[in-house]
Amino acid sequence: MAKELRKKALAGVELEMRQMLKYVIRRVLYMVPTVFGVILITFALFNMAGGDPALMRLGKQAAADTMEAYDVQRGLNKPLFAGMWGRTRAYEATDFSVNAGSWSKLEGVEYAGRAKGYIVLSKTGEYEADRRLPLNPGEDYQWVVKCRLSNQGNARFLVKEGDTELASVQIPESRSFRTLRIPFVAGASEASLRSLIVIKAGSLDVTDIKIQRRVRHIFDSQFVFYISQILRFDFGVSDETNQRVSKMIKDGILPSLALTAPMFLVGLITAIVVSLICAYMRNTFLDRFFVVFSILLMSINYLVWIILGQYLFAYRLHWFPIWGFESMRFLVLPAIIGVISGLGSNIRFYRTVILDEMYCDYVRTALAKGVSKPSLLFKHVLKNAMIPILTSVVIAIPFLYTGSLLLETFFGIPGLGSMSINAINSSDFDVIRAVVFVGAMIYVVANLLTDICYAAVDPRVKLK
Amino acid sequence: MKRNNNAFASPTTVGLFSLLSMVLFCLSGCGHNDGSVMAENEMVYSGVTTRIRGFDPVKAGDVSSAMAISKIYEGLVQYSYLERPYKVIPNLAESMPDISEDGLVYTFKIRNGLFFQDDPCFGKSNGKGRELTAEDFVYSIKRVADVKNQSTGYWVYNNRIVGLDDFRDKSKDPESTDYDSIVEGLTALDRYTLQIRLVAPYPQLLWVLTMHYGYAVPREAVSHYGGEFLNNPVGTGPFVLEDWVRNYCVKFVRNPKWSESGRIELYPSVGEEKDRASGLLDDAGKAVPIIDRIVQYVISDPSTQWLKFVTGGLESSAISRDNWDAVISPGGGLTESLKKRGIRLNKQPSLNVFYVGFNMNDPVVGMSENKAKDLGHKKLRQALTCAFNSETWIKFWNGRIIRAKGPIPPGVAGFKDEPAQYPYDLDKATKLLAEAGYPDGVSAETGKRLRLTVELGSADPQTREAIDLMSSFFREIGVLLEASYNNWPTFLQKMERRQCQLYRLGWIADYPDAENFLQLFYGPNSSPGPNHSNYESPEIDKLYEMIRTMNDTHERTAIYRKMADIVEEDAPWIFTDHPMSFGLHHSWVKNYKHHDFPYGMTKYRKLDLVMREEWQRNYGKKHWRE
Amino acid sequence: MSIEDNKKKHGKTLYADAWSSIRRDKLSMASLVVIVFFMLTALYGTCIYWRYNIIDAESPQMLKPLKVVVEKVLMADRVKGQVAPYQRQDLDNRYMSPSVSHVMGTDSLGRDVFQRLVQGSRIAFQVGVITSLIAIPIAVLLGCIAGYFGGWVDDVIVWLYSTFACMPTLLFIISISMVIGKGLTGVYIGIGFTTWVHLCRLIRGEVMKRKDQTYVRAAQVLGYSHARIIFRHILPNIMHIIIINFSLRFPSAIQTEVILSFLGIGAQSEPSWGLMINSARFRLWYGVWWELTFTTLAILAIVLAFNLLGDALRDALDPRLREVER
Repeated sequence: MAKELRKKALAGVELEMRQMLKYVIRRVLYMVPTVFGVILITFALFNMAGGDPALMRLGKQAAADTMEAYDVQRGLNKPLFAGMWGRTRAYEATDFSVNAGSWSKLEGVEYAGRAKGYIVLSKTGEYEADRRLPLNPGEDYQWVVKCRLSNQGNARFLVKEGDTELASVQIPESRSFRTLRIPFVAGASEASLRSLIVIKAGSLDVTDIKIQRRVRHIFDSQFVFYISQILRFDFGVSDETNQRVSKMIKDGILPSLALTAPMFLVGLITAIVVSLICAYMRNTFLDRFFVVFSILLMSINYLVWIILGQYLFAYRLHWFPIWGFESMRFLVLPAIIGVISGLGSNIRFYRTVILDEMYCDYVRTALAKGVSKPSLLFKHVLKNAMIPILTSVVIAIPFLYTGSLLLETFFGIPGLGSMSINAINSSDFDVIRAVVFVGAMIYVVANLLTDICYAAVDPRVKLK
Repeated sequence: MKRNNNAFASPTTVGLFSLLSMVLFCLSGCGHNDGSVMAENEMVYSGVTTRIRGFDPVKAGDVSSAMAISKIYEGLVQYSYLERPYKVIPNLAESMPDISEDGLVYTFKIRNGLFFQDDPCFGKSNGKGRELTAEDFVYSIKRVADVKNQSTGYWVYNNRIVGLDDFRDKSKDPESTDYDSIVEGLTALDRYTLQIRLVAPYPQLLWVLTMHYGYAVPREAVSHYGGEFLNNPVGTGPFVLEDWVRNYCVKFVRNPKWSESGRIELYPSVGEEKDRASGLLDDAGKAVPIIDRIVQYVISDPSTQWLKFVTGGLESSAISRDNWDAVISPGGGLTESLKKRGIRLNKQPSLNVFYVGFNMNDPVVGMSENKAKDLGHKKLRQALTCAFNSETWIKFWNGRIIRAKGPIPPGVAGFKDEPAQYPYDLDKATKLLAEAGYPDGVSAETGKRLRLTVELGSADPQTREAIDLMSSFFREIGVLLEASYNNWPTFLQKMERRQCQLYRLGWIADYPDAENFLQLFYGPNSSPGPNHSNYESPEIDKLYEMIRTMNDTHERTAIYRKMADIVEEDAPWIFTDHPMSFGLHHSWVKNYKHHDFPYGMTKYRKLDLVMREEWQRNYGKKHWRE
Repeated sequence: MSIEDNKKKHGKTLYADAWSSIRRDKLSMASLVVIVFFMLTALYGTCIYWRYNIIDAESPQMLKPLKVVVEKVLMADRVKGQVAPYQRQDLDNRYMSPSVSHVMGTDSLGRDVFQRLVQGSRIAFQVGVITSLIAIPIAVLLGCIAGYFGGWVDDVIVWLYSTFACMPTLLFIISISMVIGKGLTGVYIGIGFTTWVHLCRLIRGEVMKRKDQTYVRAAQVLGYSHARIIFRHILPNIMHIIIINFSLRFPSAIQTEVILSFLGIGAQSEPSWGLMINSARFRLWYGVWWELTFTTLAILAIVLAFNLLGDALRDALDPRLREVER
């Protein structure tokens, strides 16, 4: 009989375990689209918007090969999301709506001006595109030329190595601009490769002329490159400090935590204590005072807390050091400021949570039965309010990681916050992107953990 | 409704958490001692407000990086600390070089028995530092020329040393640079003899060799550390890098190799007349460095910096514009409360010029091929120069600047003492503006008000206020000035790509010779070179090419003046001011003398620790204005 | 809740009830007065701004008549060649403590702090209003669509907002405004495009609850279009959520703008409160207290008023919505 029961109980535990496992797997799978979304947003924000990073960072005088190396290192020579053709700096990609670039040096080339945005090849003869880098032998390339040829014109686009013609395309006459694609494969004697526009008659207007390199496959793109970087925990190299971003984050995370972890804990405990008092004294003057007081605290700008705190307590009263990161003592003032500035919203939140719990039937029943109020509050209400409190704690975890941007800067704490501010001040996009991404990931994982904790505590969650 | 949960936030968890944070701190800690008590003979001072960008001599372009590098690395020659006018004396070289009569060949004898610091990169000798040889200089100068290093300093050797330009061309090869290839003008005749052969006389060569582009770098370190070389400096200098927490502090300690290898450097015993009276020669003949450790904080906030200084946490400080009245009395000296605390003020003109540049490629203010247009634009620039109210500007800066009349600052030959050609004169400005085609600031052609945009490399409150003031000057004649605030890299990039219309910038002398300022108007130096205005004038170019190889003579000074006059007339810049250096330091800081090129001079500094302790007791917790 | 209850609660009487309960509360009324006061200040600031800027503004030809009218109204032609009061500089009178001529003292260029504060409140209101105009429509549209249609549309929208919810808020806003470019436009877009998530989630939930109620079913049976049902039948019933959200997002947008401008990413040449704090804090140590104090008080007053009123509104309009946003 007893054996039977035990067996049943064991089976029950097993079932629960299996259910739990199922739930965890489902929940992890559910995370995938969110992670993908985060990757997509950070990618879109920093890769698609903004200009040419190599040009921005290295400047115009940089040699084409340096820029190409920069592109290759960061995967920028690939198509954005998917596609067969990527960029190469072997030839200058001139934007004719700004100037004529190296084409202006060729004889017979006229620039029609910024408004029109094209160049005119009016004389008969050969026009060679200005090559800056060797092409890789055996690789596929294509010229993309957007042009129009005047009436009765006769022009060809020619790519040749020595005397061998790699590609030769007759340019059709047209009234409007047309796009021509001229694919070719770079040969072994690449050094003698020339790309020419040969005009025998008429004049040719060109609005766009650029060379593209064929990538390995259709998904050999910047986006995939970014994902593969992330999978390797490689966030690139900071343009400003020349350090690996992953190393910078690793170095910064401990100082940040040293400030935020105690700050967070003290803040949490203070807020819960105060809100318990409020709940206990509900509708008394003290409660009302704390409610208004917490709104007042919330309304004071973070900057003001920092500036006044530093001025009053460090400078005028000499209670704390003004600036630095030498010992625990240096962290006390920023931590206190952090606690106070966050106290308002915390009190409001926890008070609401605890009051919600107090209106539950079981509390009323208990009260009616004559259970003393304090013991009820601490034993039951607080215990049950722990779930929403825990949620709020977990949601605040990413904040621990970025630390506090401003606190760290003002008090000279070399954590992720001051690192981010420095990156912002020097347009160091790789660093900002990495901090944003890692922050989002921590949030996702923290959320996952809370949900799993819920499920462990409350079996009904799993069935949802 | 019942929710089950257990063991959340029990007291033990809380305890564990604070323990955790303590552990976290210890793991991440930069320091070990309590900040208020400083270790024996340690010296603390703030870094400038910018960060140090690594320790590679060929890459540093900013003052704070250069200062940090100069503590670790050294060059053949250095500036004499106390003597004025500035004078070059040997450092790693045994004596001043032999210079051939035509001024083309410099032969340096390098001191025997100088060693690099111990470092794992010297694998062959078990990490023991190797002796410095002439080859190291050949290698180091080649590094500046190597395109791949993206050095900020090639301009000091450009078209100067025989064969070095070819070397630079060859280094464009993507594979690798062949440092063993021979550069004709750069040879080690034997282990200790270096010969530099020049294309043409280069009177500034010795000045240039004091800069960090001439510092000796061991080849082993570069190949051992590769991309990380800039974080792992290996030098011969008085200090070595102890610790570096980026964005927070850099620590240096005395280089143990010096005492190990018996290297002795002495405090200078010659100086100016007044130096003896002020105690600067008290330590003459003593061994340097005097200080054991240096802790340099990176404090980006000027007010924090000031607070740390007045409470004794930093040895020296600048004076920000806002606390001027509190620090400096109307007479120009320190206020009583600061004097009482033994704080000393060091006021000195320094070799620099600040200006608002016009981009000469800009269609509105720049040069033009159309003669009439070109003249109009020139008149516009002159009008804006006339509208610049230098008196108010000086008042804004609390009299800590000298009005600039041309590119050459006081203190070097060529400075102009006569009144400016285009001084502040609103009537003249209005007239010139009308002649330029903008009567009352409104274009005669389009009927639109003239709007100019000035690009700035910083967005701090001081810059904003200065620009607000400047735009009020131009508003007086009806021209609107709009500010575009950038961070420093973006600003540099805009200048390099010639995208600025107006920009505000300063130039700090690299060496005490006006040629260093006049090169900023040389056509071939246009952006991305230092001529960010992209100013071109055949006359200036011709004169500059002449003075480039001339020795210091009256004739050369006359040409300097002529060039400055031409530039003033063409007005590619509005010359705003020459800032003076106003530095404060505590009484316990000894052997401090202002130097325009203070690189490598920390080794002379001394601290009176007893005095400092006493000061901390008396004033450490007292409000500085009491 | 029965339909009658529902109607009674969300009919016109809801707002009347709310108003009367707010009127009874002294604190809420005081907040309302403060908000109206700041609104008038901002309006005054806007007039000053345009009065002095319209002279220089290059309006397109077709807007010329309008410009003439505005010039007449603001008497802008009379101030031609003058400098706006918040830009007037007087180096002889800098760092002046509050006096009769400058009620809040002057700053380091001798400019009147009060006039600059007025411009600051103009910018604060601009930020509050424009970011709401961006975020609220996004939230309402997405929330309604997701809640009403359900299915894969719902999945996509839930995915979108849960992704946005993951991003670290301040850094995300900063990155967006950096990519857009400095200046207030970046701030508007940065704040606007990141702060819709909470409201969207609330609206989705409410719409989901309501779409099965009888009046919606009835409308569906009558063959009304989905858009009409959403916007004419459901939306009016959840308007109070939007109102509450607006009153609470306003102060946080102001606070964020202050921090962004302080960091140099927000306002560039206009006197935003963040820029004022940034320059005033350097002078605090030397006894120039008025600039920082008054700026701080202005921010405190407006944010506090909005927070208190928002709280009161929430209590009055929907006691169930006590979920505090964090």
